[in-house]
Amino acid sequence: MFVKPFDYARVSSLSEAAELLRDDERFAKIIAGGQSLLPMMGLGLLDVDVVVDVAPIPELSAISQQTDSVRIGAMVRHRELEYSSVIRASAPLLSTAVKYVGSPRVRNRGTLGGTIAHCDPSAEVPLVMNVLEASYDVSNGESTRTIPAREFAVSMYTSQLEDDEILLGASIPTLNGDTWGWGFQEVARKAGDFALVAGASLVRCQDGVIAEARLSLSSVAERPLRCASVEQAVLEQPPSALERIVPAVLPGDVEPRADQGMSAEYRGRLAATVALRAMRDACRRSEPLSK
Amino acid sequence: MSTKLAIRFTLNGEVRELTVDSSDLLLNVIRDQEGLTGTKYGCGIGECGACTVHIDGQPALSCLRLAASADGSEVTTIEGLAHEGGLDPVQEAFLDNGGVQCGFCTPGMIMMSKALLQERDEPAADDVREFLKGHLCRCTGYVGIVRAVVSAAAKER
Repeated sequence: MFVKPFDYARVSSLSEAAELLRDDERFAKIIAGGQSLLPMMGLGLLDVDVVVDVAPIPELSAISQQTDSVRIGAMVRHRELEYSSVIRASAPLLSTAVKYVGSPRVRNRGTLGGTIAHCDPSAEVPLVMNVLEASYDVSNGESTRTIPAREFAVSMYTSQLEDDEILLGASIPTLNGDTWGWGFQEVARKAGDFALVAGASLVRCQDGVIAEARLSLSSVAERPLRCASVEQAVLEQPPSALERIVPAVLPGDVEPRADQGMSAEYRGRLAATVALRAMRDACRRSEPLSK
Repeated sequence: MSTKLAIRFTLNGEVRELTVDSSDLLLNVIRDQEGLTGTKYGCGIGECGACTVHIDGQPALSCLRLAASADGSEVTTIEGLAHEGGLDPVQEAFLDNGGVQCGFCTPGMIMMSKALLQERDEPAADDVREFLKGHLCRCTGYVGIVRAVVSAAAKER
């Protein structure tokens, strides 16, 4: 039930949407799937004067394979991502991570653009976009610009979008699936809960050692965190060395705080376990012989 | 400020033309305006599954859907399952397998189970548990519910 009644506007163009967002008289928010927005409004955490339904806008709904990347429109539902063979082939990390978003009902409605724009620090999709080094196209109805995923979130629930900017979609550079492996781990208290910690990793092994590594963690900072120290420390190491390196080096990247009945120390240990498992899985998938 | 909007959608096979408030949830409209109280308000934030209906053939949370955005859609509630005066086989299975105690979670569980059986012919118990993730039951411990869905699938074959 809503603390304050609000208006509903259904628009069929970006410029219509941007105009409503620019209106100083009324605070407008884009509603995509509504699976994050409506709970926040219902809990009284957000007062909105008008929700702007962008579902009819045609350019927001496609998944398309480009030469070196895959492009996903902002209104693509999580369910479509989950079942998409194009995504499974080009970005299996995303296919897997999206299964952890909410529940099947939430995924029927929630969208890629919505979860990215929402900037929840524990969210799975922004996390994998960060480690995949995706980029986002945004428009204010007149001009567009491109924002790297890792710069998009400024802090909790805050992106660098201007008031009248709308996320159009994401481009994910395709990695060579023969050499790069991926790993995803999440710990949550119950199914569908927000992640206590989630980790996404991409590793390229060569000649039995780690040649390139990426690791990002959710829920340990106000936005997804690339763990640069760990990424450096594992280079030229065999996967078997991860067990020793990750817990030792991760505290250099991660400074967890205590919250919601979890001590900082416990979250730190959870982060190390999640990071280690994600990286180990990525190594395993990268080793050519185990394919 | 909210406004009144005219919407038109199909509810359990019947075309409905209604005036709703722009901030009405589909759940409110189903229960309060249409009087179909089988769909329950459990948590209001999408975490319990008790408000589950089918919208355009897919299970969805009616507490996280604005009525205004359901304009043009086909909505099915638990009341739409029974036919010719008899119960749906999934409903029968819940009764036969101890899947109902207080009944509050039951409509949502059944609507979701129907969706599962549309997707899968032979769900194993683990598949059922996976699909019913996010549906909370405070009474049964889920065992009877899972048994009911597996049994309903077997009967359907």
